[in-house]
Amino acid sequence: MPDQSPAEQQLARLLVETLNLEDMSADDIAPEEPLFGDGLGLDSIDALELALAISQKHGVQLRAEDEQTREVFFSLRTLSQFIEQNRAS
Amino acid sequence: MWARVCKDKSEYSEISCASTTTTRVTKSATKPLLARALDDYIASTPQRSDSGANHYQTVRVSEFLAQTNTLANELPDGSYAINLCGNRYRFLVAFVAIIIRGQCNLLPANKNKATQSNLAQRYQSSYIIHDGAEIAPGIPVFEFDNIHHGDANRTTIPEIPMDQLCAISFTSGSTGQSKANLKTWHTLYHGMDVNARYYLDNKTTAQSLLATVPSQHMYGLESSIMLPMYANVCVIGSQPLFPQDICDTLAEMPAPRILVTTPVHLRALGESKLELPQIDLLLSATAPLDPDMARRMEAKFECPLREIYGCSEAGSIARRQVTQDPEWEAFDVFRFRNSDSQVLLDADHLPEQIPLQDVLEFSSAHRFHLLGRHEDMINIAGKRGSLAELNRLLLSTTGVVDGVIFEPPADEVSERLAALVVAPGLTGREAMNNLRDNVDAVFIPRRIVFVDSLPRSETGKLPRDKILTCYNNARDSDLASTT
Repeated sequence: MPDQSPAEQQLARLLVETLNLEDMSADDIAPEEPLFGDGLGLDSIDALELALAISQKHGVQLRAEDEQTREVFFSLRTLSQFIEQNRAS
Repeated sequence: MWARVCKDKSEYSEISCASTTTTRVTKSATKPLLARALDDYIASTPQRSDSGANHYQTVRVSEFLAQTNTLANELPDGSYAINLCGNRYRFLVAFVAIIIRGQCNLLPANKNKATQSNLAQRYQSSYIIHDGAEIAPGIPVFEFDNIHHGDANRTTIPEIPMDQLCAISFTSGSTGQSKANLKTWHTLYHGMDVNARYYLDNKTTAQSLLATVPSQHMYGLESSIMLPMYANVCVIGSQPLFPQDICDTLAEMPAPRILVTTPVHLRALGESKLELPQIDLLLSATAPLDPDMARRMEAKFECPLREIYGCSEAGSIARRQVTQDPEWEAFDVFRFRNSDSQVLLDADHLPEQIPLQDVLEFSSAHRFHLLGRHEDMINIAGKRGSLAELNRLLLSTTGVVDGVIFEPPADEVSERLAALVVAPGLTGREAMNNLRDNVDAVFIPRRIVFVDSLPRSETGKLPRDKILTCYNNARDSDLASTT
């Protein structure tokens, strides 16, 4: 999919692998599509598993104030941007 | 584990039978809203400073009461408030203000828009109170963004009528309609009393408490909302999710410190490789912990790990420290009775007998082993569902010819459900359409394997070993074709 950035592509692969999203390929995840609720239907257990995978792969511990978590995990794009910020700090 | 009880004909039929819950309550009786002194600290709310570190603002009971009185006057008219507040302190203020106003908190198992619409339809004269949730259209809304202070010097602790319906907790359920569990002040008040004894051994010294579970879940409500109203506990007003945030917050809290959490969060904490702070008590519920995992957690946090067993219908029922003794110690207010291979639970503060959905083996009147769940029941992240209901939904999906949802083999890392589906031309996503519209996301099978037919016996039955063989074969050939 042309509109995924390289970082988003990498994250999409991690998402599909970690969360066992059987019938999805990484390319199927539109960067701005909601990950939770009506989108991919992910939930907070997924958020935790993903955070664990990210910490193992990138050595980055995700941190978020509670109100922020929902915004961070809104879409592939917001999550990717958030990881970049965490990595930088 | 936070169990779900079976649905039977004794299920409460909405509010029309609220009056039946009062049969054990003297009409005129009241009990105080809080069993705390006015100058005690009830909560501590983190405020992010410019440097990024948290600064904590502690709230005295008198200030808390002034804030709840102010909010109680600002709330819209209505009978029911769907309380979706995510911030723990705002939830606490809203929960109490709704009670003071004489209204009833509706506590859904999730914040999905479909759930909101369903509740608003079921309960006439309801509105939503929230602090940033996505709201379904057409429902009156009260946005609770700012806490308004009142005059803390003039507060007194209000008395609440014991027969007042204060909350309805909904079991997540995998059925279309979640089950309503009515909580009068009588039920909540005596529940607080027994929980303070068994959660905290009646400790009266001030303790600070952090919870990772949602306030709307019965375990979260009892441990992080009701406990500070009754015991000398100062609750942290946030709900951190990630291991780093949990550790940082714990490190910032004054000792003695309690962490209220679940096996899912504990696993994430254990695998995070973070240095975990020394605390004083770990409370875990929603599923029994493996003794090895419990031992590791006790070593890492240098404190006892106390597990709580309960269900939305009854609240907390029993406790154990599995590293010392695998048996559960039931709280002394509960009575148990065997009936038709089921255990019925009763207590003076409960509206009626509750059939438990777990298999319990008693060694004495108040000690038991938890042998497992009744066959049909599943438990994922503290949410309970019925496989039969999920399968009914799968089979009524357009395009699905046959299919079965089941718990995956023990060697799979994920606790998510799996499915074998016969549905020519459908994608996995399409096959799950009906489930997605009707059940909580945790119940949606993650690994969906398409097959030509299911290994049904001549009588149409599907033995679990046949399902697993079929699933493993399909999975192996799938792996072989992709490698």
